[in-house]
Amino acid sequence: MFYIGISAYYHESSVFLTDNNGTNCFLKEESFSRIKGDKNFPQRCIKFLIKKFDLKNENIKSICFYEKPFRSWWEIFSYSIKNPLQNKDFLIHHLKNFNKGSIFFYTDINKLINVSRDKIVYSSHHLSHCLYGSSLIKNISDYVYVTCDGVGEGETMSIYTINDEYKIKKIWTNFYPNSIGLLYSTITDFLGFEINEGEFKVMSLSSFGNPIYKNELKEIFDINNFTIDMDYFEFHKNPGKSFSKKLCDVFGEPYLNITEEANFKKYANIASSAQLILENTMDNLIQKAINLSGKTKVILTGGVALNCKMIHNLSKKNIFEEMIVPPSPGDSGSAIGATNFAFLEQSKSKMLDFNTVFLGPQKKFINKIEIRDNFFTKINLTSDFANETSTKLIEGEIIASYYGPNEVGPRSLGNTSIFCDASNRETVNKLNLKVKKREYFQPLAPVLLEEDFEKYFSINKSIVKNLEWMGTLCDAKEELYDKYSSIIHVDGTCRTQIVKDEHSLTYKILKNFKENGSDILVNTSFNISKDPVVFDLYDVYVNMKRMNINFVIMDDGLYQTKDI
Amino acid sequence: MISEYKINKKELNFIPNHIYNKGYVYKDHFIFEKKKLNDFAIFIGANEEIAEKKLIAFTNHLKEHKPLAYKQIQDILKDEEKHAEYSLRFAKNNNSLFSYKIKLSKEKTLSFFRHIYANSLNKFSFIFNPILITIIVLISFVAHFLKLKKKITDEDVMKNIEPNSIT
Repeated sequence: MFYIGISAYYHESSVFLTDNNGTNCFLKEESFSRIKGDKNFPQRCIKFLIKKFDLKNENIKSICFYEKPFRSWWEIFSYSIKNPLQNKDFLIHHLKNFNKGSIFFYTDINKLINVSRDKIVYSSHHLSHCLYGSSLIKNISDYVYVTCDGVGEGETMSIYTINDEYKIKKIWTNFYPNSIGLLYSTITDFLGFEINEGEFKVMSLSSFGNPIYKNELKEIFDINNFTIDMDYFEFHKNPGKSFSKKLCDVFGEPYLNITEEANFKKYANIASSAQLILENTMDNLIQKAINLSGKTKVILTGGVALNCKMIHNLSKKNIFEEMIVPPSPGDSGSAIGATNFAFLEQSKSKMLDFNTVFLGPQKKFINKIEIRDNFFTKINLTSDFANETSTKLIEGEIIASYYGPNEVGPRSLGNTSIFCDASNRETVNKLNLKVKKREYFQPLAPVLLEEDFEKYFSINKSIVKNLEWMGTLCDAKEELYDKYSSIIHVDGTCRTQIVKDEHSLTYKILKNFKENGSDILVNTSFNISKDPVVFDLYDVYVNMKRMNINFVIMDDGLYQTKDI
Repeated sequence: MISEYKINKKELNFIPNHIYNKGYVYKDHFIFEKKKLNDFAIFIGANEEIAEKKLIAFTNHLKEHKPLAYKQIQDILKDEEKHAEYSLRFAKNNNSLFSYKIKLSKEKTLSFFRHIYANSLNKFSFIFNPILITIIVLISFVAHFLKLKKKITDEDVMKNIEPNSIT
């Protein structure tokens, strides 16, 4: 019997299926539709699952949506309707889109599969975040669960605890519009980046500036009481605009071209100030969570937790014993939390727990072998293809990887990645700017064996677990500057991934790579900027051709693209 | 265009979801998933031809004031021309002449109506928005009383949540 969790309609849509007996399948709609961050109902994912698992009413235990649809719609609406004429543009838009949101989730599901109504359940938005976090750990009662995002069902910050009998307690909540997430998104919009996509660019940009606008931002958002001054915003009035003229009076003109030096410096200062306010707010929130719960281990979820620079800086304040940010802390990962809700709701005294972040389908489950042979030629001469791959990497080759199960979360952790030698500056620059077409101020991330981490990097022990899925930054040591300076960000940090699993192909490649004289690979996701990560072999072939990458390592060997 | 006209990248973003609303594409499937290959070729041919004409009209405005943009759009036009040519050639070869002509004029008529619909969205708003505003004002009175419980704390979340409820 399968439990299915679904997150959709507002951020990148995803589906998670499990039987709690070793069969797990996490999918994102963008993988099928090829629309980055696709938020539509994940019908293509569900069709894939129906086909692969022969899903029908009889073998489905429960399907859980990650939030309460009407509450989610109403809470935003009810804030703006306090001033109906002033906020009429937003209200009209919201009313017109009533039928396009999650209200008709049951109808959308039933178009694809006939499931009896009692099998459809609805979790709560922040509860789904919290339950996703709990699925990653064993001792659930040792932690306090903090969620912080833009808004979900009218909530912007929540604190939960869970005891050993699986009793979940919500110990504090903050409500819309008092949202640090929406403030950060508004700054993202102001700087000319796309909301829900560009926040990580603001984070990278912040390292180039100084927080000279921190006092102005503290006027806008009270970091102690977590309240916001709505005079600076328009998102409650106008669906197409997030900030008001008053914010422009503080920061000047929005949407300037940052390729000009003066604009770049100014926008870097704004980004730096927003980053500082975010970190101060989260510092206060986590201290509040620790004080209220009496627990010093923290699970942080919600879209705000994707800010790995914040995690790194918070760890330096030594306010918690441990902090874990799951690999997909945003709404996409909530599909797993929703599944956990359905499971707990049925069992009453059990929760799902996974000891891996690779919950996606295996590549051989996605593809037929004939397709591979149509597009690729196996080129390795010996069975030791990990070694051959390492040799090619040392020679300066850029190699894609496509093996094992897919990762959960926005970061590729080796199984759908592009690798190159981090000590080869020329290749790293080529990969970043020409192949991936990223912004020049965004550094690439390194990956290395766990045993080599301390040789090159330092990190507070409290956040070390997050290195397994690039969930935090760490500081570069002098030794790194000698040979691998191309992967160090301007502020001396790196978003490093460590590999522990000796059975993984990534581990074997790194081990061979080390024997060939280099310890660190660059690991970036297997996609062109603004495209989703590759999913099937067609995507692999098309992306390799577009990026001029010749080699890809798969489960059973090293392959080269054919000319078709 | 970005460097010459100081256009911020934001202004050049293409948001695919917006075109659903205007009826050009469908939300729940790709066009090629639903149409037969012959019909799809005619659909592409007819619409690329129309797109080409519209782009020509658009570039005429740019020719004098924004020569770089004009040149770039000319390159896009060459692509449009090729797409239309290849698609229609394929469709011609795989349909009888009569069936080809009928299908082509059907696609052009449908496209004509799609454009009328998309261009009229603002006019529809002009008619319907006053009705919606009246509804909103009425809801604002109801909203005063309809307050969903907002809990700052909850002693037992799983016990107090109603799993089958959407509220």
